[in-house]
Amino acid sequence: MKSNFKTKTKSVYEAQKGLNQHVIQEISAQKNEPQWMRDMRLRAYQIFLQKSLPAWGGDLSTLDFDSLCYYVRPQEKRETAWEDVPQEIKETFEKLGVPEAERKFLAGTGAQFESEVIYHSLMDSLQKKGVIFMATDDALREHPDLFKKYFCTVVPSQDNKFAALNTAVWSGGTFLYVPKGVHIDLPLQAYFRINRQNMGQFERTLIIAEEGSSVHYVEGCTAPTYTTDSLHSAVVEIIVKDHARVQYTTVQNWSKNVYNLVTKRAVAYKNAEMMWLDCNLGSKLTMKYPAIYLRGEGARGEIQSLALAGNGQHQDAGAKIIHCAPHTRSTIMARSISKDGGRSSYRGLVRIQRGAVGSASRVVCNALLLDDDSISDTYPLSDVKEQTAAVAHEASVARIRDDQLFYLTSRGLSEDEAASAIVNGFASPIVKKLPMEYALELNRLLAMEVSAQ
Amino acid sequence: MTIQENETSKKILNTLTNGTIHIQKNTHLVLGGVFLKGWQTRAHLDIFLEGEGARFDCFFFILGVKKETFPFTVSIKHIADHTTSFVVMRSILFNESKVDSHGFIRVEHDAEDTNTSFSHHALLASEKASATLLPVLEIHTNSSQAHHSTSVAQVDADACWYLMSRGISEKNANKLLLQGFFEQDMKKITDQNVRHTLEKKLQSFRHIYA
Amino acid sequence: MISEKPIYPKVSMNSARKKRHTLVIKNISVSANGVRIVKNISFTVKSGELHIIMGPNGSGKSTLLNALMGNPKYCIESGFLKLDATPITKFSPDARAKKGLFLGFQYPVEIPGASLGSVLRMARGRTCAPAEFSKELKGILTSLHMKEDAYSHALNEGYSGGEKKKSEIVQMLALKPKFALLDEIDSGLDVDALQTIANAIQIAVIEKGMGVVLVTHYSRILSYLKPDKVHIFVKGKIAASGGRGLAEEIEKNGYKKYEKQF
Repeated sequence: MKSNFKTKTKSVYEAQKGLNQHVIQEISAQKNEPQWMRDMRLRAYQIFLQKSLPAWGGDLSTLDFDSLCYYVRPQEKRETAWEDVPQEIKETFEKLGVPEAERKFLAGTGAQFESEVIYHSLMDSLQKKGVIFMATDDALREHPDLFKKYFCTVVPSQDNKFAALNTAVWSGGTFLYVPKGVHIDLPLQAYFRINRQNMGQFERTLIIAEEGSSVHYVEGCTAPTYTTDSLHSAVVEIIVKDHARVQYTTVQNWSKNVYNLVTKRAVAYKNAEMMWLDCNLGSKLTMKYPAIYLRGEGARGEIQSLALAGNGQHQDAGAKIIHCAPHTRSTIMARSISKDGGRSSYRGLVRIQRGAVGSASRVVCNALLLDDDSISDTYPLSDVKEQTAAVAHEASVARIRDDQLFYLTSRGLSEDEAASAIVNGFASPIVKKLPMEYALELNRLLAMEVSAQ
Repeated sequence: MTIQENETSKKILNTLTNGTIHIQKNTHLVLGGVFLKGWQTRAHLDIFLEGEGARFDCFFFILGVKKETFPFTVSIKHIADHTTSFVVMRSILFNESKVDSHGFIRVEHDAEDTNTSFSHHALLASEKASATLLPVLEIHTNSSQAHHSTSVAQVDADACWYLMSRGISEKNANKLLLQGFFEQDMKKITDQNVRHTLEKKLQSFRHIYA
Repeated sequence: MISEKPIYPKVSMNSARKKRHTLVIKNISVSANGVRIVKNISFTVKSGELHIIMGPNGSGKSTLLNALMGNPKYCIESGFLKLDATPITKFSPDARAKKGLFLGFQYPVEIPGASLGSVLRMARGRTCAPAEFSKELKGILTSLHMKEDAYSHALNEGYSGGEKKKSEIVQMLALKPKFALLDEIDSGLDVDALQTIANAIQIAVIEKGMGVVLVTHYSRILSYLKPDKVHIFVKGKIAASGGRGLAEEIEKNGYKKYEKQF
């Protein structure tokens, strides 16, 4: 089992436990934020107090808002041992043509590994194209007008209790702006930016893809991410303008003490393409329903969701697509694996508004229950008010078939190996859409999880 | 309503109201329905497959002609071993009619070797018709086979053009396709009595959709 | 190989002189989604003639046939189509069919819940008594080596590619059109099915006086057919027209010579 991310941080400021106006004001002051942001945080806090917890979904009864610490200011510089760098990131460095990182280590120039070097060279090439890729906090400071134009426009504070909470106490996250016509070929990984500060509990990510641009952003990694923070409530807002393309890939593997409650939403305009590739492996409870609003004619949305729920875990994930314009298309593919009493739920919505002429949507959900104690739920709502639209949904729940097991074991595979092969095969339509380094790691992880049964 | 053990029971409904049915050991209930009138408040039909080998087959055909609404929830709980549920629903909606159909299928942990299949296909035959479909599966055991499917669409334009190219008028082509839409699941009814009864009920309204 | 000696089906030498019909395709241009695909095509087909259309992928062959039948996805921008004295350019697909035009689809559509028998009876206007019609149709099915129960089976449902193509020919023979447009009727067929279908087409042309426009992709069907005219389509235009020899030339040298023209 790989070692967890070991943090060697020495915090400079730590807010008192619990949430109140004072804490929020302190957070804003610590960051030297403009007045409008401070006011926005305070308004959001009021909304948070008024809203109630969702009556559906996972069990939030043990979540105690008063016992949490909502802000820790990170130390300025972070050092990481080479052995702590996740495997897929190491492979990315190779791909980036930076083997000297490893050589540097081996040559004994330092027991520490600096990701700063990589980060800077990456930044140079992006900056030349006019791309902005930085921490959300920094973006507020350096690009205030751009920031203010889009912040909270896709997920307003009133949306739900956790969106309000995030707007009140957000810290960290990625701000990514891609100018008109710019295509970024290499997937941009949060890792490169995150390493500059602590993994945020209340990250706020904002991605804007101008007309005709394209970008692929990757968040997270397969290595289990240890944290004492028991609540992670991020918000991701994405704007995909005409003819632009954005893919947002998440590989989430939080430790099993975490409540992972995330609001992710994108708006796609004319002939734009938005894809959420969402892999949920960790956390105690994840409630996450990536959403796409197809607002422009001809826009396309795709959501691929893979969930693995093991002992003591509940993955309550799903997808939400709203067709607001003509000739829009969407595809949802959700696959879940439940084992050792784990619970996997799919919660989805496809809504076709009247006027979304000639729109089409297809949803396919498949669940694999590896043993009798595990649970699978499917709640897929289709709401169609447009006659010329076509919406289809199907779902199935099954276990590993005896005939498949027998077939593989008769070829010389052990039962564990056979089960792993079948589970990997089950997950493959989604896994193969990940950047290769991640796909390899995820396959390894799945095989490990299955044999650990 | 409880159906005695080892019985096969058939019931035809003209409308849906709240009801509970307990199905016992080795008992088979075939429920058929042709709904033409509509109703306002959500109807709840709860089915409990309580005895080993119990089976529930359900065939609902819904035809909305003007402004009718059809809100209902069919909830099926598999409690015993070797139970089967096979639910098939089709809706054709004209003018401002609406279907709001929820199907809850729950297979309990101790219910071994169960089989459940649920489908609801809706056809919107007019601009203002609408359909909301929510088929739910809650499966608490891995010894079951569960599958569901839903769809909402209008008459297939390619199929219409194909029939017209054979010399069939657009009006007749549409009628043929609407008839064919119900026929796809009508032919799955193995009990001929139930099938004939349902076809007869639809006959009087055939002029609307056929 | 079409350069081998062709194998023609035995046909009756006493086929009565049928009434002569003409299908005039004049200056037809077709567009789809605002893009012009077929450009200014003209040719005439008479009863008892077999015209073959060949050409590289994307040359507009299928688009032309679909547009001639009135597929709503295509727009005839200019030109006209006349069947005998009647201009049918603006007719709906069913009106064209009633006038005597038939399209064999490249991808025949499945019609769940509606049987072959019921569709064809409706198409023929229910003029024939059911028992008589059933007998006639089952005879046609058998002649094409299809099972008789296809009569009551949902049209094309669950059929393989080859079976769907046979189903098109069954419908053609049952509807007895004056002119049949066959869109890649040979794709997806094994050798036996190819011969069966080709024979049926040849007999329809020679004995029944049907005019046929056949788009072929592979040209191996030409081993079994005796075309009267061959047209080469390239980029939406007729690059060349000729006799059987033209097909043989394409078989040997491909389309390059004609592609260069455009």
